[in-house]
Amino acid sequence: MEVTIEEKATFDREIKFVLSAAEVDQRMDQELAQLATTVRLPGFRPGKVPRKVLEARFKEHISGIIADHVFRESYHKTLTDHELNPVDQPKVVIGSLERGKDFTLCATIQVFPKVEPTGYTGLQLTQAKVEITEDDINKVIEEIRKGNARFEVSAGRSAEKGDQVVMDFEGFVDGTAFAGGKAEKYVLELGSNHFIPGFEDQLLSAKGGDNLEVKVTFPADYGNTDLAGKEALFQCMIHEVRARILPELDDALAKLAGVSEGGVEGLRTMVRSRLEKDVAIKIEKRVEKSIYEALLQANPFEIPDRLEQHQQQIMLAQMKRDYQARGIDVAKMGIDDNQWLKLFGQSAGEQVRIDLLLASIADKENIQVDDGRIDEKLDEMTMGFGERAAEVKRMVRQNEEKMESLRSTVLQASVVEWIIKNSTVTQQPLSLDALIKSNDETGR
Amino acid sequence: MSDPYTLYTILQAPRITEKATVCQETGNQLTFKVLRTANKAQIKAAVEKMFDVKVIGVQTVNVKGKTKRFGRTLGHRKDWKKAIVRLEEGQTVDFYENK
Repeated sequence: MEVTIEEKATFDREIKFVLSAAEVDQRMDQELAQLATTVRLPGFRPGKVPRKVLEARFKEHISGIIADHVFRESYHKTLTDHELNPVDQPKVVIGSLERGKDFTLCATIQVFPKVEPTGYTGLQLTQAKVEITEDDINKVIEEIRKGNARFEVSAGRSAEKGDQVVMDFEGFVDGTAFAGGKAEKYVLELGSNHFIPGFEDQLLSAKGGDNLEVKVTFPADYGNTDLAGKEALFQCMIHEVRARILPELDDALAKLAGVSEGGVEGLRTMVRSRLEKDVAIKIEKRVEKSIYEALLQANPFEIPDRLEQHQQQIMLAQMKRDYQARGIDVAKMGIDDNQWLKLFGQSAGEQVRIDLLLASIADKENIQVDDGRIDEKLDEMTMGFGERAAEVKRMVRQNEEKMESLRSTVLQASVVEWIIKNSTVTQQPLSLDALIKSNDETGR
Repeated sequence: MSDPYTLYTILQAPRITEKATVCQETGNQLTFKVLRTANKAQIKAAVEKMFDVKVIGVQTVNVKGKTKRFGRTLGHRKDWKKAIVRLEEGQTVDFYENK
């Protein structure tokens, strides 16, 4: 058998396995002999089916078997002999099998790029240092109060920010009503920014029983392109205004927020510890992010498109799961997969490059994963399962694939730690607000 | 009896069996299951037309259907006609072609 490897592109390799005519004949005879002893056909006694009939009837079958054998015998051997590292399963094209002719089997693969990581030591990193102030805690508590607010109908009240307005409305663009622009007894909280900018402001100081006309302009980037940038007139009939009544900050509120003991003081400690945890995670993410950016900048290299597509599919599935978990049916959003993929843009490719870089750094610096950390990570992951944690853990341990992904997560974390250790880290004081804001902008 | 429709109803199926294979190899004979009412002339015409070959002889056999018992009921398989057709020397037909 003859094996040729052709470089089609930077990462594309075409491996051709060619059986000469003589080899084809020999293999076919071998397979037919094997078949003849087992096959049963009507009209023939077992084992008495002539070659010719067998060959005619089982041609496809034999061709499949031979292709399979060729692949099994040679594919992995070729890969190891030529040090090829394919990113996924090969695409195989099987040629036609005929007596007296060569038989070719063509496998196309993409190989991993050779990554020589540079510039990953001595990075200048800034780590945010956030003090949680009493103010920050107060803000959260204020949110809790708002979340537990009651709304009471009060006659003659003019609507203020935070109040709920119950109204019928119908929207017109150029004098005609448009789809989705009409509702009855709609409850709108002023200041919630659920409506087009400007709409809610115009309802301020409205009273129950009022008839209002609200003029707004749809923003240019509005989801519905027919309406984007157009002026609209909404006729609103206000049924009632409900005043918002915030609950007192007392032990009862603390109980509502899930703090059963310690009252208000307990609530404050709970909020503080939760904020601290959040902040710690956010800071870590920020550092990670800056490391990734530095790595990407220092190591420009191309990646095989199949890897990128694979990553895109993972991200797509992940995103769909997220939406599903929030109760949104992705199929009904009217965006097809390709549009989603466009939204991801560069991020899939960057993720692949980061994964490759981290792996290559781990390789080069001989960073190992120790089993203790895997255990820790597993504990952390299964914490939410309560009593069933042990069971879940056992399941994960038995699942080869899950363990592999767990191992790589831990390995990546170790590499990031290693990089931090070998960099200069400067502390940068930052307020909580600024941290949250910057995370939203750069957050992955 | 020479329109194509009738031709196809005459030849119902080739018989691919041990015996038929032997006949083909030793005597260049094809074996068919044919319409019970067809005669040798019609079978000859049908084979010549369908496979574009020259037929030198046709032998036919009326095969009695087997009696089959299912529990208490007696059943009977259909009778059928077998035709063994000898081709002129050097001519062949491969039933697996174009399939």
